[in-house]
Amino acid sequence: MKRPIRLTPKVTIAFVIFAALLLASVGILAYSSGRTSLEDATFSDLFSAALEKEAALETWITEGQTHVTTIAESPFLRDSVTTLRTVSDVEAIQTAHDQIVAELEPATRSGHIFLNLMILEPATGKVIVSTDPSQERKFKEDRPYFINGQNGPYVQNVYFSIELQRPAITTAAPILSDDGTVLAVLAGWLNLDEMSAIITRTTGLRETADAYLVNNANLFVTQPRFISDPAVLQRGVRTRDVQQCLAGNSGSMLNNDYRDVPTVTAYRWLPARQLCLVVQVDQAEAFEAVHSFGRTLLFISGLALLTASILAIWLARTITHPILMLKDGVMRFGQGDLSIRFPKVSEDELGLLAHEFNSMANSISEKETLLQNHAKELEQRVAERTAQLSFLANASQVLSESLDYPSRLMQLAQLAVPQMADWCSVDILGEDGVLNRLAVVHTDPKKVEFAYELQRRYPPNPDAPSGTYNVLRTGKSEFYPDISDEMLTAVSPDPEILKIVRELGLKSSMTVPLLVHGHALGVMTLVMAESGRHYDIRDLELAEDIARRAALLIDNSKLYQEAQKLNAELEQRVLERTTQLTTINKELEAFSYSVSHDLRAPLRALDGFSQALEEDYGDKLDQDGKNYLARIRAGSQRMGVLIDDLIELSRLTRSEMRHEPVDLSALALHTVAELQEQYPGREVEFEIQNGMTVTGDTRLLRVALNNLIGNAWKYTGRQPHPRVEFGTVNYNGSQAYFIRDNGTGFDMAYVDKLFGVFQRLHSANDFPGNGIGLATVQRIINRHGGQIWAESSVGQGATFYFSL
Amino acid sequence: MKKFLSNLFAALFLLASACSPAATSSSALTPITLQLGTSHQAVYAGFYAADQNGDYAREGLKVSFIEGGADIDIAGAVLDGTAQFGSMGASNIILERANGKPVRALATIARRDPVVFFSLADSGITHLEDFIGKKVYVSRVLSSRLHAMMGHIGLEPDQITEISTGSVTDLYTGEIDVASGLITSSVLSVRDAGYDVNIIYPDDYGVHFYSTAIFTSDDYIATQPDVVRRFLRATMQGWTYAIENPLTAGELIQHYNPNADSAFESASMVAYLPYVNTGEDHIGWMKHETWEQMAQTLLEQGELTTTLNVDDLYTLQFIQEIYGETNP
Repeated sequence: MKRPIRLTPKVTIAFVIFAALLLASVGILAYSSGRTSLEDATFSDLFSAALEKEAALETWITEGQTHVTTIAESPFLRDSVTTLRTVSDVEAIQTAHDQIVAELEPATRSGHIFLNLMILEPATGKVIVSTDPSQERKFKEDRPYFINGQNGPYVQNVYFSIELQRPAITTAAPILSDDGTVLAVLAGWLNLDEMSAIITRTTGLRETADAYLVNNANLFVTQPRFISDPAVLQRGVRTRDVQQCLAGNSGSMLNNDYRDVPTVTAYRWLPARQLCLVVQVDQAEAFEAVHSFGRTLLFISGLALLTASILAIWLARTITHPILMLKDGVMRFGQGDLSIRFPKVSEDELGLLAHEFNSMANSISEKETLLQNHAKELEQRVAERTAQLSFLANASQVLSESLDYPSRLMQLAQLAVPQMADWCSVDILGEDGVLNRLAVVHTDPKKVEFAYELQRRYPPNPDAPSGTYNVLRTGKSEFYPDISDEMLTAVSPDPEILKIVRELGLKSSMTVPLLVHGHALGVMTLVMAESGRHYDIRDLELAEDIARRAALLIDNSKLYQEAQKLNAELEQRVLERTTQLTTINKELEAFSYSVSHDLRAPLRALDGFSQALEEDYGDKLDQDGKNYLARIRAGSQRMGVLIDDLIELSRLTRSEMRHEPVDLSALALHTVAELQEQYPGREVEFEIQNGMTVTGDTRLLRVALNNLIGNAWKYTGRQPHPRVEFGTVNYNGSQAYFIRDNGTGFDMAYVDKLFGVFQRLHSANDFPGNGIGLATVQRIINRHGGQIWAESSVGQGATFYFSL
Repeated sequence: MKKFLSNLFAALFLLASACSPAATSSSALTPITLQLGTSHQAVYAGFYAADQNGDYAREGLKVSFIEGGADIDIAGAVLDGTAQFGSMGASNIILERANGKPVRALATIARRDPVVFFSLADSGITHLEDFIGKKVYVSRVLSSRLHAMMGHIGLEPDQITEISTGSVTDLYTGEIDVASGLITSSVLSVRDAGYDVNIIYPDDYGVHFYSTAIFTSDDYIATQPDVVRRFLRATMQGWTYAIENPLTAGELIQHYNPNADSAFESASMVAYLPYVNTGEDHIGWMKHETWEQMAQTLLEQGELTTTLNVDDLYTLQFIQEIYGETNP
């Protein structure tokens, strides 16, 4: 996180920046305006200089031209030349020659305009007279000044003269005879140094001023000031101004000159001379004034800025100092030093702020103190409460450890001392209506003994208006937060007891009932003595709570004991009953065994002898006789079956039941298979639900199912499409099994007789059977703890339900 | 500064070309050979400048120079393809043409003859007339020049003693009275040796010859006019630079001849200036009259045995294109 900028620097910087901006903008404006006007002034200055130089140059060249022309026109020269050309006398020629030379020579003296003057023969260009003798008798027929000079005055612009081996300007004019024929050409070489001087001449006001001419081959034609080596026709220049100028333009610009130095330049194109005139001055010099102005500005601005900065810092300090002081104070106050107060030093807003801060600080201090006291109080109370709750927890634990309430109550009393009391006693109401002291506890065992002794000697009065019996009776606590001497006196029956009681130093006590179901089982007493502590209402509440729990404990103990007793009695009775039943069962078994045997024997004889009769004497009998015999046999067989079934029934009801998982669906299928095997001719549709498993006796259940399914098979004997279902159904909320057939059914009016032994609702002619089957089934179902019932309507089939 | 930048630019450009794949390099710069008339000298400063400043490279040419000499067939080198362009005296072009060599001048560098005759300052020989009876050292090649000059003032060749072999230094010993040579070199040497001389210019005696000219074959002009144009354009730029910066000539030449005397060559260039840029017309310009006059003079002097069609000697076509003018 960026460090925040402090107030003093902020104010200072703002002020300084403002001042700087102000100075900068003013300075820049002043400087640029100065510079612009100086630039303009320089340009116009240079421009006039260029004009002046151009004029001077023209004047000079014109002067030269004029001079030549004048000389060429002089009659003297004309005559002399004529003589020279026409006379053949050598002496005369020589004289004329010398005269001409004498005439011409003054113009070529040092300081004069011409370097050299020549007279050339027309057509051949032969030099017949020259102020420089070495040129005489040479031929200049191809020189432009000669060629053009024949026709009229001519100036050959700057060129390199071979003969002079230097740059030159040559003016020429024809020397004409009276009739206009060209006698000769007079040519004069102008002193180029003079031209340079004209061009470079300055007023001297500017040190770096320079001017020069450049020809259209970019070569210098005059010597620039700052080139020391000869530059005329020997050095080229291609600066921007020169290029512009040689393109035919005149103007001014700022650019870098041939020294690559920034200059202010004015250039003029001189078309008559095919030359470029450049007049320049170094920018450094030209703008010196404004530069120095700029420097001064900068210096003054710097000073001003410095002053402004110092001022700003001082001002900022003055403003921010009280603010900073305030800030420091507030910070320290916030960190906990509540004694900070500000002296009122000014009447302005800052002073007011300080004053307000002080009031706020005072009120905060007060509140702080209050809060602290309050907090202490609360802490105390919390500590107390915590102690109480922990005692409660411990007490509850102790009480819940077992149902042996005497030991628990003793433990409780021991727990209470010395945390909750100096003395603790527990009294329980006995059978005789007397309170038995179950426990007395004090840290000093001697005192405990003493207490027991005291109790013996002075047993509490059951009729007393206060005390343990009162509490027991009323079920209300007695609470003496502060035991005064008067109170002691009031409860002590005699002075001796009073003395003892006083010695004990009792300070505070409470006696609470052990309440359960609205009546008290005993009382608990807690007393503060030596420790000097006093009980308050919360201590009483705690004691009552513990007393209730103790009472509950006692009650639970008693109930438990009772339950135990009842349980024992019950067990005894069950044992007796079981013995009874076992005996009966054994007797029954013996009975049926003998019955079956005894009954079977004659039956066997009956059947056997009938059979013998049928076999041995059958042929002696007539049809009626055979008939009678068959019926005898049938009857005895039926009886045999009946007896078997009865035996079976009684055995089934007595036999021990096994408890194992039985798959009813599998049993049913088995039964069906057997039936189909037994009666292959019959086609009966069976729908058997899968996965019906129960816990029971497999053998018994097999018998039951055989009967039920067998019955269904039987009673659908007359149906064209017999159908039997076996499955589960929800019958009034609980699961039941059902076997349904679409057979003949029965009248519901006789449903009660259905399960009776030997009860049949159909004749044996219609349907075979002896009427025992269903009774057996019922017995079996009952033994499984279930019920069996049936529903039917005549001709609509029957449904047998059973539960297990 | 400018030269440095030009050189830098040229170097970078060449470097870039060298670094690019071979195919583009060879198509980017056409290799050209220039057959010089003599060994490396200031008289070729413009060519060197064009090479060093990248003028040739800008035109897509890579020019290399072959030094010439007295015994080298300059024209032959151009005609047989050893070089595409050559540099020799205009009079030589005329003579070669007369001998059936299809050489043609494209531009003249020295448009006045830098050949001069000179005598020691105190010899009193200041004019051509003073040659009578004197021993004049003049090479066979220049002999006709002298004769033409003498003819201009009515002198006969036998009025002087011509010495065709020797050296300029014979002047000092008096073995010869007049020597001939280039004002750009011989005269400078003599002056450097401490002798002051009187110079007699052929131009003062009606003999106006072009000197160094750039030429090529008729065939090359016909088949590669674009290359000719480009080469000439770059060459003119190089000569413009040389004219404006004559003192750099020494440095330029040293690039090709490390043994060159830099100061001498620069001084030579300075002396050469007025011959290249006469101030009368553009660098390289040629006039019909001058070619005519040269041919005439050579014919008169017997150097030429047959008359020539002067128009076969030169073509102003490219120079005109380059300057965009038909008149100087």
